[in-house]
Amino acid sequence: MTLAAAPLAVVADDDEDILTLVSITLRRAGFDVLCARDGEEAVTLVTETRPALVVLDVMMPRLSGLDVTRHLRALRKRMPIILLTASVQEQHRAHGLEAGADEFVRKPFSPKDLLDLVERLLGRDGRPAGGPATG
Amino acid sequence: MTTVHPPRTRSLRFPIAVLGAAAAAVAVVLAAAYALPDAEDALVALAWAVAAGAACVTGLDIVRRSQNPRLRRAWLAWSVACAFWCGGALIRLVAETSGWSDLATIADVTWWMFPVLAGASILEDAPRGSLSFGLFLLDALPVVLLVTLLARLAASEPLDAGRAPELLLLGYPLLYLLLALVGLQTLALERNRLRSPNLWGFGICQPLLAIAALTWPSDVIAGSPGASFTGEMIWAVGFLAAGVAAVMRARDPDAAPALRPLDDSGFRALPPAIGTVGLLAVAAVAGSGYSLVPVVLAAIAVVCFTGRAFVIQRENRLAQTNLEASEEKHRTLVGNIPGAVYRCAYDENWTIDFMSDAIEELTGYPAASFVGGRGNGFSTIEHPEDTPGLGDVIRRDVAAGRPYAHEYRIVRADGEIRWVLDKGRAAYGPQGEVLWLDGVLLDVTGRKQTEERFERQTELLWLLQRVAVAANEAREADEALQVCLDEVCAYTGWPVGHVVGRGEDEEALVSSGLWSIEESEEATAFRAASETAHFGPGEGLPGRVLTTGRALWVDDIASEPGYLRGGAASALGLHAALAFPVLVGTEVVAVLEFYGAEPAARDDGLLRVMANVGTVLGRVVERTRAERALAAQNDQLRQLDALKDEFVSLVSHELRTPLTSIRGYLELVLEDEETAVPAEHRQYLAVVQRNSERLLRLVGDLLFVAQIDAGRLSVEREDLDVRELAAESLQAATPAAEARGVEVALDAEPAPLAGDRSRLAQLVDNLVSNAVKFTAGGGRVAVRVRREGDEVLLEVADSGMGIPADEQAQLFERFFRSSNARRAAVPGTGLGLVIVRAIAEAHGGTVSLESTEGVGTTFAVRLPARLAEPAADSPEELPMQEVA
Repeated sequence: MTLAAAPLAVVADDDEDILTLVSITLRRAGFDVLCARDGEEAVTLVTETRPALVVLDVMMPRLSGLDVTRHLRALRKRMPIILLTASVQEQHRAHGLEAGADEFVRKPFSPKDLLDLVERLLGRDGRPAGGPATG
Repeated sequence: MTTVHPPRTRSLRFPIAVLGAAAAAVAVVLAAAYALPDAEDALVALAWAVAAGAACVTGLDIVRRSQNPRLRRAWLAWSVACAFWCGGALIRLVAETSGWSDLATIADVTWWMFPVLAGASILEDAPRGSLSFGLFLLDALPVVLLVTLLARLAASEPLDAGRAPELLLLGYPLLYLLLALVGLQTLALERNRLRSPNLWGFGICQPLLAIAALTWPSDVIAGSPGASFTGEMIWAVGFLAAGVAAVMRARDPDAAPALRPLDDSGFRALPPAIGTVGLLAVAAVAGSGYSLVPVVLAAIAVVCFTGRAFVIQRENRLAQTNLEASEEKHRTLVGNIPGAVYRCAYDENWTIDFMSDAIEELTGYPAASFVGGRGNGFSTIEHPEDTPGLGDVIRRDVAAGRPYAHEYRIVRADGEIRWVLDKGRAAYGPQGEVLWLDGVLLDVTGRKQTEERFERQTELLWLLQRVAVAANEAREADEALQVCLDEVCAYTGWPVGHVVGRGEDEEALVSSGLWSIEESEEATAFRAASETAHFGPGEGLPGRVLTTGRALWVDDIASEPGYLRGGAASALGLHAALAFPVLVGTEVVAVLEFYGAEPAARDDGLLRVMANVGTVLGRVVERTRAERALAAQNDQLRQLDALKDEFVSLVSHELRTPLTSIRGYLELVLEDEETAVPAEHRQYLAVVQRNSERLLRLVGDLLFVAQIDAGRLSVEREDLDVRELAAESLQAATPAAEARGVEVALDAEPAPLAGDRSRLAQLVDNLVSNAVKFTAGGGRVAVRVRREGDEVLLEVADSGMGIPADEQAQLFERFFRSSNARRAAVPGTGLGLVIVRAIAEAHGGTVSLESTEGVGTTFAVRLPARLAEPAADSPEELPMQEVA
């Protein structure tokens, strides 16, 4: 697996610490990670770079994760989208899935579980696992 | 049925012609007598005959025409008397012309019959009351004659035929004087019936005859022929007067009184009288020498006549008494009837013929003032509002032959109003024509008042009922108040109703803006005056009610000094006023005021009902107040609830996000074996991790309880086995148990049911971790799972410190921690058991516990063992992703 082949992920969260945590986790798993700090930036990055994976916080300034998801799906972006939320309410999960997200992850989450989910998603979609081998 | 009255008018041409001719003839004859002194006696006799004959003919004319039997008899007697007189005059005429002096005596005797019969005539026609005296006088007549004869006898003067006329002359004046007295007495007794011309006739006639008779003896004694002639003249005029009286009498055949006894008394006295006179005549004609025989016979006749007269008088008195008793009976009968009896004509004005005295008590007007249609009548006493149409209704009843009965008001002489029941029916003639109406007027005022009172009471009860119903149905007090305004105005007919309530300044009352009033310029002014006014305690009508807390009646606000809105009220024409409080307990929360267009006296019944209405309205106010307070409280609770939700989601987000970072970075540090983290630091980081977990659990529990409170605890059922959940839970707890030296054991059989896997797992975890936490080293935690009938029983038993009995009931209250737990410093939030029970109940189950201090505690959860119905759950629904 070459470096050029490293899959690209876009991560968006207004909380810098979470953003960093998710970025580190994904980079360790072999992704190239682009970070966005609000929804609009996320939309811009995704449309410009066509990433293999998008991870969005639900509660973000300008555009929420749900809005970004809808927008991206409207733009026929078919990559997996994972929503992060601190909410425990069931209907938020339903809303997220309705908007077109593939998975809905509650905070706090374990980085390891997140990775498991990512691998499952990419594998399920028949895409290359993206060579998580580090090094 | 009754007799039909004969027509009252009749032709008088005949009697007037007769009398006129007779008067002319007499005048001619007397003039001739004056011119021819030699033939004087004969001509005077002729004049007599003419005058008496005319009187006789006019009397017979009345007899012919009259249908009244008594009247016919009376005038028959008069005519017969006149006939005798006429006959006597004719005999005298023959005697004068022939020179046969015996005939002259016979003529004189014949004349004697006149006064007797004339007296009989008077008696027949005379009103009652004069009878006794008249009979007495007639009785006295023979006595006078007897006395005269006895005087002659005592003088021992032989009575010859030639002296007989002189002898008789002495009796004439006395006789006519007596008759004159009868006439005068009759006049005196009947002066109130002076329109009876018959009496006038006799009253004038008889004195004239008496005066004429007086001239006769003076002629004989004084030898003055002129006096005799004057007497004859006067005599003739007297007869003419009698004739005129007869004519006038003929015009008024009904003038005789209606009630009269002894129809034929005059005629019954007649035979003895004729007999007496006849005896005297025989004695006089026989008179050669004076025999005792005629005297004895005359005396016998007199005794018979007198005795007969006494008998008649007694009969008279008796009849009189009976009559009076009968009349009294009728009078008292009519008088005692409870009401006034009347008879009235069936004409335009219902002219009253008879009205009993009771009418005076009823109307204040005397009965006499009603009779004859000249003074009072039905139209003057009937209440003007009741009269229209009443006459027509009565006429319909009469036309249909029905009795009529109607109630109407009358106005008494003193202005008082009374209710009468006018009940009666018509009398009909043979052809069915209406003759008159007989009826009675009964005073039914008392009954009417009772009826009206009853009606008013009923109306009041309806009013109260309507207000009560409205009060019950009203959602707002204003609705009930408006209904009350409208209902009371409709009941009283008063034009204005208004509510004043507590203003912002709680001390004073101000208009609530609720009105029952007809729009007009004056009404607008009154509204404006009312709506700008402040009624402090004691100020104006509402203020006075506010002070006393009691209903208030004002007969007329125009004369009420303390009334504040006098100008506007008088412009609107308001007078009577009623105000009453709406009471909540003893607090006046509003005052209802009503105004009438007329002054009115206090109506206690209405006031009492208004007091009730006030209480009813007070309850409405109380109820709506309570409802409003409750609604406000609910609002507040809803706000609090929303605040809590907001807080929960804030906590959820704000706590969980930093926890994510703490735990995420810890994991990054700890999983990285190569990272050089000293063992000691690794231990510190493990403490951080443990506490972050505890914090996470606390946040989770808090959110969970918030969900329970919000009623948002949802259960997503799937088929599962409680035994597996118990095994997983024990497995998870094993490290902690081992660390504490607590033995854990599972005794389970398969126990499938449909439930929410994650929540039931949470339930088992909570119970097991509790048991481990509260069990000291060397203790034991045993979990049993059993299938019992339709239930799954999960028991978690420990050999821990136990829970004091008095705290067990509070155990399932949130944040409650047992005293033992606090003492032993067992960590916990006091939410675990709350969550356990909520989950069990969400599955239709129960939680119970048994605990003995120092021995241990056993929690038992019973869950219904029903399996998921295939259609009930949505298979697409993914289980909640438990990441923690």
